[in-house]
Amino acid sequence: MISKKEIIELIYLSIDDVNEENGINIVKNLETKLFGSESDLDSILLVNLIVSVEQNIEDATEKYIPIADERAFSLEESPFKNIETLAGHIETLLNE
Amino acid sequence: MSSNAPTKDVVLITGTSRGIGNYLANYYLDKNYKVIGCSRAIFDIPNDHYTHIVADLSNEEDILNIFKIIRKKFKRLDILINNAAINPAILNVAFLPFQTIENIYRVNVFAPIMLCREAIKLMIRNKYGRIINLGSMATKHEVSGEALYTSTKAAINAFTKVLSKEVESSGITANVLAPSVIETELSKAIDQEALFEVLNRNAIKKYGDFNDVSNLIDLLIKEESKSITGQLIYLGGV
Repeated sequence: MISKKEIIELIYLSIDDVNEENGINIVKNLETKLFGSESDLDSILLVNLIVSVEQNIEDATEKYIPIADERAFSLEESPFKNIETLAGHIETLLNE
Repeated sequence: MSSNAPTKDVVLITGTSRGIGNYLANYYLDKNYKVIGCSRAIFDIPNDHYTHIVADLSNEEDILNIFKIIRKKFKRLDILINNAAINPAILNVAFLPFQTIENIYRVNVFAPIMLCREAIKLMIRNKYGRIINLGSMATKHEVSGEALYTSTKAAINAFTKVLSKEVESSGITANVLAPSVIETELSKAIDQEALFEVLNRNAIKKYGDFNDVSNLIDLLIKEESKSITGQLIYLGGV
């Protein structure tokens, strides 16, 4: 099992990939907004990021978790609010 | 693999134990593609490039397992052909049991959507993908007794058109290929008189051939066909 800190590192790894592939600069910060009007990511970039995170998580844990499950859209606080909430959501999924 | 083998070469075809899916699996194996097939029953094609996965497409876990195997064994997917479909009952709407409605929607609608969802995640990684969803001439002819089946295919038509817009920037195309009637177990199960009444509405009034289908898929999956997307293409002069 990996720690939340390691999950955040994997998310940052994905951000590096998405930044490089798309010539953008998503800031690697726990408060960086991933979704909504305050986010710099459009829907395609968010999909690219999530796909990359799922891949990195699977490579690290040998466990595939579809991050965007039903709860992701029904929770009061969206897991895509920022990097910290995303890491927390992934940690919950991995612990199930 | 021969020197003129395609570079975009991992293809998932659903429903490969019989009919169009079986034909397509053998066709693309002959063309040196790596083919992953699935069906509910245990099945195999004796070819080193063929991987068969037993899966009930009405079950989400089985669909996720297909992609678990693809990620592990191939680490990529270039082409998805959503072929599997059922047409369990030709019934007047007044007599449709709920279980029948649920079953057909699980296989004909939920499964292809789930398969597309998981496929595009793999395709996005490589910025390339070709998705072919099999449609039906039923959506054009609107035949009595076929409301349920037709509605599932209409759902796939609409889904594919929207999907094509979402994935275009990732180098992925998505199209619907709607064949004319091809002699398969599915078509044999239909009332033949009614079938030919419908066929007679087409420009081509006889059964279609399997190679009509592969001929069009060959075009759609070409790397150069990057601008052919979001299309619903009927065969047989529908």
